[in-house]
Amino acid sequence: MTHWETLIGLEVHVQLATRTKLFSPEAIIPNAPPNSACHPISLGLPGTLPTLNGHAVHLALRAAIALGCHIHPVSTFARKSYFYPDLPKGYQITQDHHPIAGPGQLRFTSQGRDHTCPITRIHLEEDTAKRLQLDPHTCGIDHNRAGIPLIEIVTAPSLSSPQHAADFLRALHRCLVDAGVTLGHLDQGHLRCDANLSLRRPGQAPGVRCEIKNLNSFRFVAQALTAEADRQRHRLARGLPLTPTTLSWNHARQALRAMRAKEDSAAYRFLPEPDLPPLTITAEHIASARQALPPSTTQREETLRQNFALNPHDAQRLANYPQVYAAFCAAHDIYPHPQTLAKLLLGGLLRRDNGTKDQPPPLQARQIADAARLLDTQALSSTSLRALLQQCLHDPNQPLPSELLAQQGPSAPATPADLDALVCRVAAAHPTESARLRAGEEKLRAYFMGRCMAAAGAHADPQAIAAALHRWLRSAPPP
Amino acid sequence: MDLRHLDTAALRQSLRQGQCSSRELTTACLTAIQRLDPDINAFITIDPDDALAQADAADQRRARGEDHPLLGIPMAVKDLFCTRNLRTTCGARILEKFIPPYESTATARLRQAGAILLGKSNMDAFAMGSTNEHSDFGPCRNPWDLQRSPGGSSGGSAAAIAARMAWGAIASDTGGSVRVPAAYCGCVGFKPTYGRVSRYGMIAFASSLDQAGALARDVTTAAAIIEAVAGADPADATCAQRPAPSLSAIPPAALAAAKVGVIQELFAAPMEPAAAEAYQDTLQRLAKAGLELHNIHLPELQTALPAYHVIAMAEAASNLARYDGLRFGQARAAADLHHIRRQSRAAGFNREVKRRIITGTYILSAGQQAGLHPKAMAARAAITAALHRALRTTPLLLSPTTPRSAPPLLLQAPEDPILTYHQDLMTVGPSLAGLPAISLPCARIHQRPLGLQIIAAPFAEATLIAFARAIEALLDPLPLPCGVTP
Repeated sequence: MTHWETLIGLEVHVQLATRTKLFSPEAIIPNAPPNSACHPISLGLPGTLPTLNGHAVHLALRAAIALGCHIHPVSTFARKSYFYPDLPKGYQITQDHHPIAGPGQLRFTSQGRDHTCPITRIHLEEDTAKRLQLDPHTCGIDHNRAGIPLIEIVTAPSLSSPQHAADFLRALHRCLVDAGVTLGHLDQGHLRCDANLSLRRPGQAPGVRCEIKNLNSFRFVAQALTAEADRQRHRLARGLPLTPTTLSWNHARQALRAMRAKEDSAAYRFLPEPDLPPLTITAEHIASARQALPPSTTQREETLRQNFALNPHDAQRLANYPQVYAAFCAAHDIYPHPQTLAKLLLGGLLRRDNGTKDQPPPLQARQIADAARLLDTQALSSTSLRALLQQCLHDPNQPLPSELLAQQGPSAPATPADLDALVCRVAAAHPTESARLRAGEEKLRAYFMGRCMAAAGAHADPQAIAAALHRWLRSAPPP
Repeated sequence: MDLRHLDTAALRQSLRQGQCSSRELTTACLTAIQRLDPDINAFITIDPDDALAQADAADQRRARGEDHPLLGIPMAVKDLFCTRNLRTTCGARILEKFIPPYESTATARLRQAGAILLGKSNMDAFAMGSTNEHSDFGPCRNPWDLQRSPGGSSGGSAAAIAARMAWGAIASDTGGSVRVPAAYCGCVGFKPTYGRVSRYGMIAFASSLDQAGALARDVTTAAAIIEAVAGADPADATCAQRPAPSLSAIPPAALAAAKVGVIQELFAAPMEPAAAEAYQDTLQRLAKAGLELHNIHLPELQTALPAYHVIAMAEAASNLARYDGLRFGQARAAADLHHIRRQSRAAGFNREVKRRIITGTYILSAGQQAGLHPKAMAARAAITAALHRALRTTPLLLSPTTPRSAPPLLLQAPEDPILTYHQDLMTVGPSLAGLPAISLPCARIHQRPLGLQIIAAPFAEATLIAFARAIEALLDPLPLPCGVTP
């Protein structure tokens, strides 16, 4: 029997990083007490009217540009009607036939291969309120979330496996965070995904489509889609019927649950929104969004490799962390030695978290540049440098590391570890000579001693350096 | 003399010269309300202490040298304008206890101008009706004949003015809700261009048609009300970015050789026989005064009534979806969310409101997407284009306001909704096109007033008011309504 092909399309709801809501003036306050951040407009009180938040439009345009989407000069809003307690007006204001942006695409890597997923559309819409189960018998509604601006990004059904879907979503998350469209906190629901899956025989039309609602982590997307593909294959293999169904994923039980039969769009009684005039996007709006767009990860990586001649590994790591990248650029303006700066910023010296998260370094650019200069010119072990940087960190005057070093006067005798580091650095700076010395060319030992003494400065102890050089020659050569 | 019977010019002069105070005017109105309103039922909510406090504040402003055409003038507010801390029912049971935490832009601007807001006037629930019989707070009665309807949906506002319980009112017009009651009660009813007045704080019936309008004893007062409330408002995205027009001091236009279009289809529509005759007499008087009357044909108006109802009901069904008993208004206790909503809506909406919600829901439902609503929108576009074309030929158009005089109250009798909807025949066209229009008392048949409708181009309110003042001066003033004691 021939195999089944999997077709997956995603509808991704992304919370925009605005200060206020999409159609009303109140500030968005994460974790505020329930119903403490809701204006009468968000509650849908009679007589209130929506007015559009211009910054939300700006962020939607940034997303559209980042995803290479076609931007529609005129788009319109529509009311999507359904009765649900978390929907205060009885309808959601969204965009139906005329969304803000049309086709685009996103490139992503999955299982070592490059893919492109077509984007069908991007539209603006408001979030619903949130149901809170207060106890087994009582349900509350928190309207703080009602009216928070979202964009919905709809992909073509062209992702061919649950793993692809999860990897696409990771790339999308990265792209939108980079573009400043969203803060991207998954734990706060800033990116929620509805996943549609259907199966087909090669060359045939797709079968029945089922939708899994509200997946808010990359892992859940892969797990839930795997379970759904298995369920559909299992039913088809046994000749059982499939009906279009809306499902939810219970992570604790690792199981899908059917919520309801899937509605077609006619059930939503779409109505052109009479309270909002059509949204007109001018060339100026687009130019301003384009200008505000920071370079993408790929663009950053290219800059690091081509302009700064970093090795691919360091370039990729640095490009992945926009805030570290920003610190790198700022320090590079002061002290243009990219290799040293990359080592400083990517190594454990300035990171509090073993380098797993994008955080701004705790020091100012001038301090980082100065530390890099010390690293290049002074015989300092990483232990000594770390101690120096710690002092900088806790000094309210924010001194330069070199100033602190000078204040400490003639430094304490360098430790053997400091001197080992120094010898390694000198050897790395003179690769040909060091190779010849290792190969037994003894006349180069004096040359090296001279270089090391110069690097160690006036306070160096020649005997200690000679011992360090001896230790280096006995150590294993670098690969 | 009862101050209530002062005409606008005399009233303003008395206030300016200190011959009477706003407190005295307000007291006179409150006394009249106490005496007359048990029979007429023009008001749903009155707060006399607050009205008197407003009057005292207005008198103080005048003492400081302030002047404004509305400063100290007692007015009614149709009960769909949200008033902060004052109950706003929209004529509907489901909002019986709704106290808005905010003020509508229109009433806020009236307060700023110094008008005295006496109370909230009666209306068909959610402004759905042409007779005021669909109010959940009892029907309002016509001061010209207490057995007849004052028209709707702003029946309470028109009746309050006719019975001289107020000098003016701020109301709303969706398909004729200001102009129809103005015609039936013998007042002036002025609906400006869609977008002229902010809708913020007006409880919505059909958002693309709803527009604030003014009712008053004369054109000058109606113009002053719109002048005070008009102008851009950042809280309403559909409100025009134009400054308020200067209307209150416009002199009457010269009638001789003024070009005016007479909409043939509306003068020839099926009508109460005496009304048809009275309208023809009116046209003759206008011609005698030197007006250049041009016959205008607008066959597109044939579809106005059905197009209006499809659009209005679809929007109404959507606008009324929020009344689920969960956040505001009257909730019914029930076992679960579904039943709270169901029972709150079943008990809180009357028959007419339910009829329109069901019709509107059908219009937008599965299988109808490509059907009624887009067709109605296309008809609306055709009507708008035709009216604009006509207004390029003659800057003003005339039609009757209604095909009849005030109908008898049906009360318990079963009504034929199609027959009732027919009352809006003349007024829905300008509503669909968003045009400014005014209804003036032009004649009386069987002691009951009739209205003449004048229509102008978008945002041409100044032209409209100048012309309306001239017509008003030409036609006979109405006596005090015979249904009320002085």
